[in-house]
Amino acid sequence: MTTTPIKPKHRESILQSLRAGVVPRSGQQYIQVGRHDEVKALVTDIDRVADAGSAIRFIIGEYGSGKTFFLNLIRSIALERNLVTLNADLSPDRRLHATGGQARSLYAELMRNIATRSKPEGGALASVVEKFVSSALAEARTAGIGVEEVIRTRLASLQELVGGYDFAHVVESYWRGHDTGNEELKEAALRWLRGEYTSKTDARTQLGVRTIVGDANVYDQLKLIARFVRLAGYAGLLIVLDELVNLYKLANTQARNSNYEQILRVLNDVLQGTAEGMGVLLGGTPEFLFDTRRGLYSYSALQSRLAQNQFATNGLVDYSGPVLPLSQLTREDLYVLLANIRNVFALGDATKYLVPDEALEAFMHHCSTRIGDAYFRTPRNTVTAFVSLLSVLEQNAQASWRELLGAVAIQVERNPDLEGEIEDEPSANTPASGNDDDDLATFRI
Amino acid sequence: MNLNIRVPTSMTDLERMLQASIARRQRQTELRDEAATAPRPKAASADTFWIAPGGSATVHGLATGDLVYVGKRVPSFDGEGWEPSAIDPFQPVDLAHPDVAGKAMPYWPAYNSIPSECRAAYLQWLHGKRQDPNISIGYVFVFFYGLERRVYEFHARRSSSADEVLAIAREVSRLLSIYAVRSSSFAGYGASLLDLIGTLEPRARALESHIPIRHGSGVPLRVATALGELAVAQKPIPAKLAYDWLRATRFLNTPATRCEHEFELLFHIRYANQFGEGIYLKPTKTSLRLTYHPASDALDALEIQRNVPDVTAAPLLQKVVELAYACSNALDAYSRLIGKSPNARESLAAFASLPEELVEGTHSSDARALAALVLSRLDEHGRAQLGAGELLQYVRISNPDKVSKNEAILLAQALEKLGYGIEPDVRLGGPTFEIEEPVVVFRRLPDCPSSASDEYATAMICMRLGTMVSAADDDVSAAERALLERHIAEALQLSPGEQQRLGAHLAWLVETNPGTTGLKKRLAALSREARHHIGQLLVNVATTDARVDPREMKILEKLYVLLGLDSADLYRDVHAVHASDEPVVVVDTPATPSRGRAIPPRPSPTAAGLDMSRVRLKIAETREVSALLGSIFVEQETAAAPVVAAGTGTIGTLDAPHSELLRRLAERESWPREDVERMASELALLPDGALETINDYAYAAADEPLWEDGDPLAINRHVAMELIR
Repeated sequence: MTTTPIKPKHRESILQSLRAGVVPRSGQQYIQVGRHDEVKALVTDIDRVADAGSAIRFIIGEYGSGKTFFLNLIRSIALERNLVTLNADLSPDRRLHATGGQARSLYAELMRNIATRSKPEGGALASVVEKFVSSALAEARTAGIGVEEVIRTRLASLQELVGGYDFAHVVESYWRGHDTGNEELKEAALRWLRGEYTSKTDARTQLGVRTIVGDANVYDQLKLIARFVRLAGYAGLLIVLDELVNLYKLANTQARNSNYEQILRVLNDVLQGTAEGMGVLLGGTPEFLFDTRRGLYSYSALQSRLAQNQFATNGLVDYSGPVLPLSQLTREDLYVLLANIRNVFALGDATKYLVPDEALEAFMHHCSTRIGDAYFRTPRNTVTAFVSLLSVLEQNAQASWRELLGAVAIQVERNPDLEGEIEDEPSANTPASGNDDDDLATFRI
Repeated sequence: MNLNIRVPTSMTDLERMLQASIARRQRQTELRDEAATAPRPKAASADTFWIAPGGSATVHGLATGDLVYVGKRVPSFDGEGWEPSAIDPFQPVDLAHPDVAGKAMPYWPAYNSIPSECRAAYLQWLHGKRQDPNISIGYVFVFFYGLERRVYEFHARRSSSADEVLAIAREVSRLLSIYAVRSSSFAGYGASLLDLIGTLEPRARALESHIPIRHGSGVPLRVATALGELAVAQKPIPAKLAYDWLRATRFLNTPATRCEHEFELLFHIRYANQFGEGIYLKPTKTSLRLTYHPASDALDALEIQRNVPDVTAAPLLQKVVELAYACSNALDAYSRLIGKSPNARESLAAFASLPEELVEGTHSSDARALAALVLSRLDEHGRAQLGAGELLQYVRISNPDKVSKNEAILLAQALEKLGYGIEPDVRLGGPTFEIEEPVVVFRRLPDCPSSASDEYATAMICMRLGTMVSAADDDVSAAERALLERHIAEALQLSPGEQQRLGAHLAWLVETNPGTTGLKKRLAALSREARHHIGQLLVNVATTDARVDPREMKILEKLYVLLGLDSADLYRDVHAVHASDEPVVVVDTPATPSRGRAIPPRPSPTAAGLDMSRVRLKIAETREVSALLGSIFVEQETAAAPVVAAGTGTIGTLDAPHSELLRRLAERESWPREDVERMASELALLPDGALETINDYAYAAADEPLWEDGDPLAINRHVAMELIR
């Protein structure tokens, strides 16, 4: 168990997220339990991406087994290694391939969440672009040449990619906007890069480019971003897509297959090494992967590439394949997790623990009598209850955990993924579920 | 008792339950202690102590007014304790020393347990019609407990009437108008009590809708109910309701809060544009539940379920969030301007940074005056020639002798918002005009560009060269120039808006006749190869229609001379364009067909006589050159040398301006965003990029960030000290 002091800022962020039943965005290292090999495999991936290589991983786990937590952990590691990260949850309105704007909407969401080490919460697009321009500016000053010329030379390598010409033009426009105090032009450039233009005429008028980011060129655009962040001085780009089960839930076979085709494109690019400095993580449930009717396995080209290593059975795991299975948490894992949470409450100071070890076991016992094994299999509610209990104990020094334990109510977690299919009609995509992982109420704009 | 466990916001339901269980246990202990001396209160026997609306009682010579409990030992709602708001007339009161500031008030006050000075202040506040804005909020809460209690009575159908509850709602809304600004806690409790009353008594809803929804306060039941009902009825969600939902669920960022009025307006306009009457939500299976968390610790949380689906988390509402995000971004420039100088709302600069949709309702007097001036001078083609000075008086330029680039842009942007374009336009690579110079203002088409595409930049250069020819030699007539103009537009596939701007540009060129001085010098500085590129480009333009008119040939010859190229080059170039697939055909003017020779058929021309595949090929070629040319001909100011204080060296791997910024940042623990932007611009740095660069250095050198994100920016002092040491 760790005894390193924990920063109050991290403590707040962890506890607030856990209380709300969502995954913390920072400080995961203080509560991470086990999964050493998995983390190691992903760190290797990140290093490869930082080394101008590429990586793709399917993070497969049961509902509630900690996929999102794991993905966020990897994301913060990537940020720490000076990568830029993009992340988004897929949803009926956000897909990899579409014709009704849903792919562009996924891209826009990714770009809203663009994060760097200094801006881990997202919204770092201006920082990335300005960092690029800043370095060009510095070079122009030392060499005594025009900034635009430096920018153009540096972005020359983008032009060999699809859409690279306009991309470079837009970055240049951002500089021009800055140079002439034209805020409107800067904002237009950022809007274009964020994929928020829906009309080509507007883009032409305001930025002088002929193309915009649309459903058809989302992946090409992401490849450009991957190269651009390296030109700006970052180590690489990590794209994290969660809730891929939303593709599985697409009712229309053709729509589903077109989405899987995009995954295949990424997979091929990565395996052939043409996607420089780009890593992609995809989080999904076992049925999303294995279902031969509607899962990834239904798409034969993917199936052959994703098939499990046949020697990796009986508890042996092969971490080199693109599929990374996350095992479910065990009772012991949960015990350590609760102990870690207690440690976070005490800012890492063992003398300030709010409850003794005995209480952890008693708490687990209490939960198991209420909801059975679900308490450690899908631990979200258990963790929230435990955090609530500790908060109350912390604020009421006179209260005893023994007395309060009996009052802890806990419910079985419901899996919203098991509900309903997604029609392909954009107008009819409101599934009857309010219990969504991407907790709307905590979204901050 | 002072338990002090009213935790602000973000408490989980379980926490509330646990807290309540602690509080109740404590109360029971106290009750046991009291049981020896006092009789147990009986449930629901408090009605006789209530002062109904319009009534009043007198305690220690002061009128209590209505809506309070007055009496000794008034039982609490659940009968297990005493009503905290009840005024016991037998308790001592120190009217000589009222504690108006509430210094001695505990966190959870009850009339019986607060000191006599506090009781005096409370009674005086009641006597003064509950409107002293300076009273401690604790007293307002004591009064509020009684109102809450009465609403609980109504809900339990024990006593109290609908009319009375309506009166309570009015009182709460009155209190909010006085005290909500002072205490966000009271604002929250007041709003949610109103919300609760609204579910019990429909007539109270009108009152509630006047209360502004606080950011991120959680969806009030009236909003949730309205959303659910509309979903069931399959009716669209109106903009106002979507906006309420948005406010209740989000903490919006700076532009949306600083310019709240503009944001709301913009949201409504864009919502209507995007969704028409509104979005349609689908009903869910979950029904709506409201948990009312009372301020009074003598009451338990109240749960109300309604037979309406809970659609407050419908995924489709995410579109509303995206819309808000876009609106907020659109107001970013405006918001920053207002942030720097709050009085700037009237200025042309504020007007120019407003999103288009908000232009109509502008309050900027400068903008209106500018619009009137331009309108009065337009000719029948929607074009006006004005002196730059006439327009610039509304920009209020800082130096009366010289127009800066920023000021020229400001004018162009303001005119654009008013529906006009201006030539020359700095944003498209034009020169900054002098004050005495004439400019051309024209009523713009919607797609009139504000940023030059490469094609447009090229067209401008060709146009400039063309005019120079005409200026140098009167042999090239206006008609021939128009021909060239048409060819330029065709060859470069200019949009109607670009053609329109090009026309205005030409008018300006003719009017001012900028001459050849600047250009000649620049042309002379170019290598022969670059000049030849330009020549080829002009040939490309002229041969778009797959033939070379002798008149065009004449113009080209002159242009080649101007470029310092041989006319032999010209003939070779014209030939080369066509030699690949067909011979160049030189024909006489089509107006005199009698002298014509037989023209060999051209392969698969379009209706307009163009071979589109060749056009595309040419455009591709053109793009290559024009990228080169764009960089040559755009007005370039050499990057200003940053002002760096003397005697200070660079830090680590950072260059001088970044080092200086780091030193300045290190001076304080937090910096408002505006200050950071100002410092960065003084050092000729881009704020976000510079910050990112500095943090990268901090990570490398100290393994920790120098600053942490937010407005204001938080500076890590010990890292700062370590870095600048």
